Amino acid sequence: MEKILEIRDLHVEVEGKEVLHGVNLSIGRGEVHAIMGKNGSGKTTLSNTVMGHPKYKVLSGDIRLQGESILGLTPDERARKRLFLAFQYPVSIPGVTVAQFLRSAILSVRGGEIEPKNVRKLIKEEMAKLDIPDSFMTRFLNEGFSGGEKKRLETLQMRLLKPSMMILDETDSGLDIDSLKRVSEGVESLREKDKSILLITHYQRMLGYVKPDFVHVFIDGRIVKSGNAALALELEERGYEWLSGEKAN
Amino acid sequence: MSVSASPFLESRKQASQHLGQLTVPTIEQENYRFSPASNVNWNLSGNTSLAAMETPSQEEGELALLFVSGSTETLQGKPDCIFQALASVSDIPTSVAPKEPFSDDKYAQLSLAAWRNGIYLYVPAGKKIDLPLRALQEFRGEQANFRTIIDLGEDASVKLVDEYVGDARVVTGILQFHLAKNAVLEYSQVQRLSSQSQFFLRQDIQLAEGAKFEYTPLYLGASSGQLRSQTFLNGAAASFSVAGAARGSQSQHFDFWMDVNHPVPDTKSGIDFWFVMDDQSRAVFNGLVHIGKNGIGTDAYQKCKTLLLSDKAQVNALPKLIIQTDAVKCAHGASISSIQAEQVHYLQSRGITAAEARRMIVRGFTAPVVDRLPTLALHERIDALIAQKEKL
Ligand SMILES: Nc1ncnc2c1ncn2[C@@H]1O[C@H](COP(=O)(O)OP(=O)(O)OP(=O)(O)O)[C@@H](O)[C@H]1O
Ligand SMILES: [Mg+2]
Repeated sequence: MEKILEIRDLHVEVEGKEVLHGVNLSIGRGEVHAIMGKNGSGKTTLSNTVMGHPKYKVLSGDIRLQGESILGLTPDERARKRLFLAFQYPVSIPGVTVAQFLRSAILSVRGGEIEPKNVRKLIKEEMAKLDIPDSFMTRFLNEGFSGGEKKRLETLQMRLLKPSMMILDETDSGLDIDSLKRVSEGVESLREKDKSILLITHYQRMLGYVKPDFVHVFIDGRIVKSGNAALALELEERGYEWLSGEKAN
Repeated sequence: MSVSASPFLESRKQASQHLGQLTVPTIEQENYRFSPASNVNWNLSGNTSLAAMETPSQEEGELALLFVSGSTETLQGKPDCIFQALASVSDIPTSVAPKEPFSDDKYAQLSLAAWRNGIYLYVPAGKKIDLPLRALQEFRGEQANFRTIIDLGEDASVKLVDEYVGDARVVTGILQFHLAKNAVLEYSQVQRLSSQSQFFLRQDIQLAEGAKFEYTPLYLGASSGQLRSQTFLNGAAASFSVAGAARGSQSQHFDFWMDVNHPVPDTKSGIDFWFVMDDQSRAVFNGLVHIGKNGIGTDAYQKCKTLLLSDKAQVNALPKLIIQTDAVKCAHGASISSIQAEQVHYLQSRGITAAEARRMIVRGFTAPVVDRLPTLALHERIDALIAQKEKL
């Protein structure tokens, strides 16, 4: 099985404090992995580090995308290597419209394969699939968006940028039942196209749509247990306390 | 052609007398506190004429382009309107009476005494001009002094984009606006002088009942300078709205001195400035809203937002209020921020380079001002000029 994302013994520090204490994770092509874990256990730290956020300092270990270390790459270079992160808390950028932003993003990542004149049409088509109204195009990026609207916009970007490895950091949080269905279908349909997915979630419900091949439990900056889809159900029933004594894998 | 002497000849004479009597302002004076020493030549003979300039071309969406080193522009299909370059007092129609403001201001008196160019725009009562007019004034030589007169009759409306370019060491100008009842003016002022230039602009804005003035100053160029603007909302329901931006780099220095007077009931003013300051540049906002004894029902605010791109850049926001009556709505505020690492990271994670991300964020910050410019061609051109100042 070809490895798309490999994380090896990753130690990460943020604001002078070590938050990740040796994470190991290996995701093959077309696989869906889920990470579940307590608040503050370091899940977002992991996703930000993989994306290359400058605040998160890698102390040791490696992150490899399709066999090559990406530690020396800037976030935009990683994006152009078709890595995508759907943020837990997308930031707003006043004065930059969704249309301007999406256009720049698409041309930056897929400039070689899409003609500028077709970008608008592509955006419209994908917006229709996710039931995002046209009026969003002229709004400022994430400004005044509801929690659910932000998550839909993250999903839209993911579909438009055609990543081969995508990380969804609680993209299912704060979604109503219909939105969850839309977003999940949007993600699931990408899976058919042989994409690898890392889903960070607190709930079983999205995993009902996007069936994970593996489920990992994150506690205290480490993966302490891995299993199949059944583990997610078990966690939902039993919580995390019973795992507190587990050693890192 | 009238043979009687223009009243503006007399006004010139008076101004040069005032000029001689007034002392040169120093930084000890409150409103000049942040204004650096000037290179102004107070001698009237210091004024140099315009050099020939490259011919600019009209842009999409414009009705007319006046380029100020000479010709009279007649607006096609608008025979009663006048849009022309001023080179001497005889260019001002004899029907216009001088109403010279700023008798206490040496810079204003210099412009009034020594001006050699400028614009005259007249839109008669009831005339509405939809497509914007543009004037491009290029200033060259040691010192250029100009005067601009804009006069709108009742219910007239027009949009004017006024651009200042060139590398004159000093530019002084006096601008006068007179809007009759219910007249509407959208006035954009783009200052993109060379980095050698200093500017001193004085503008006087008189608004009658129901008149509406939308002012969009965009200051990009020059090494330093001061804009002193005073507005009088003389009739009920008159309104004055400012959305201005300055983009500073290196040791650039912009000083906006804005006085707004609400002497009668039920008038409205709103001032918003957006400053983007890099390197050691500095912006000063010195605002005064004065609500007179009869100014009941005034609605006024002053706001100033700054994006600092360097920790050596500075901004001084000094909004002041004088309120002599009750029952008014008045607000002021100032905020300073810098580009958020989270914002840059978000854009970068979508494949956009860090430099481009910064440009987009700055662009977004000034969008409320740039988007007020009347044509798309201008939006793009000004955005590009702002982006050029971004160092990579
Ligand atoms: N940018 C940051 N600045 C300071 N501390 C941070 C930062 N990012 C993460 N941390 C700290 O690192 C720890 C892990 O946070 P992280 O956001 O990764 O947790 P999480 O597992 O994603 O939690 P949640 O389930 O609540 O989203 C927390 O103690 C948090 O306060
Ligand atoms: Mg998190």
